[in-house]
Amino acid sequence: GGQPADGELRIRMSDLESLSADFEQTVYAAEGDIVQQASGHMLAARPGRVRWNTDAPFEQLIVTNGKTLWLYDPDLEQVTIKPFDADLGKTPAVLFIGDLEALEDSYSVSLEEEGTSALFTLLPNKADSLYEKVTLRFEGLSPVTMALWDTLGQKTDIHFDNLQRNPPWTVDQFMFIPPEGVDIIGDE
Amino acid sequence: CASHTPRPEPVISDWQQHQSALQNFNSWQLEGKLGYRDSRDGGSAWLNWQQSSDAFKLLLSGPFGTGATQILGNSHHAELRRSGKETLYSPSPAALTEQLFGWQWPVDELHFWIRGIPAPNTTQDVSSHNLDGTLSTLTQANWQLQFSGYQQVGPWILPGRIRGNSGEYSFTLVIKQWHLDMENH
Repeated sequence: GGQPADGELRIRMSDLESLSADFEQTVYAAEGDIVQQASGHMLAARPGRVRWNTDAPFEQLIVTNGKTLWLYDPDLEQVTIKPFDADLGKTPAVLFIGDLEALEDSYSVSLEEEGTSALFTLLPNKADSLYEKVTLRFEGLSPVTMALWDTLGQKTDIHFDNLQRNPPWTVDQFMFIPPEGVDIIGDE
Repeated sequence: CASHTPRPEPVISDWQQHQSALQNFNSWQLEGKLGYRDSRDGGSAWLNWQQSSDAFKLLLSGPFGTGATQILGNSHHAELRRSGKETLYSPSPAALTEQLFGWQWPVDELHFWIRGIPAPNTTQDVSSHNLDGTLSTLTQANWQLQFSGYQQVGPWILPGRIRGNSGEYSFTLVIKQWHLDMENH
């Protein structure tokens, strides 16, 4: 493995105040067959703001302003509203928006570099983390892939494309107003 | 391959024949979404359901593949595996759903409802059909069900959306993709 690199990951991450990208996500079962495939667009801004929009056929929108998380599913005509859980062990996408000090408490980080490519491997420190391993590969200063292995052997691969570092953003991009007639679940 | 001319509205002329044929259709894989709620809470998950005769495997996962959960087994044995937690065993899948959701899902009946037909061995109170013969509503095992979004999948006409409610509990099943298991054709 690489040498401990918490600091290096922190530098690259703090360099990303905000981030926007198209993503392709594939989830593989332990046996290797594909159980879920989706693509979409993500916008993230530190601290705590994410807008993760998955396109049809598995349309879904996740928005959080760091306090509240809205999960809107147009197929199910349902919005789930929950307090935002910044637990890095639960939603590694929080890597892009979380408080970086917490990063070192949640994961021990190693780095392997090859030319302009840097592969960070994160192993959770806490026993109850959902993931056994998370990797994040950078090309230069831009993250290009993220992979998550959970304790059932399921692997999620996320590829980023058309990545913009530190794009401008507005507060209302990280708010969600449920449309008329949608089932609202959880505390308003 | 499938012709691209618009399909005429699928018509089921003989419901009994359609129903008994679908009762023997028991190998598939489907991908879709599951929404559920009770008076206190609710949520949604991406669903991958693999069925081959009485053996089944349900993969539920949240966004980013988080919260991966598997319920697998057959008619006399079931396991609940959750990421970050130890595996739970039970003779009945329904009992495991209580562990997961806090209430028992009508798993045995859902096995048939998913095909757009009533469960055969349970009393069926009321049902109504669409003009094309497909099942529109059904009351069974004290659940009220609405079926819609029917789609032609190989030789079968299968629902694309099922909404069910029973007292404080309700679920929505949206099936985005059916994959037929070619072996038994």
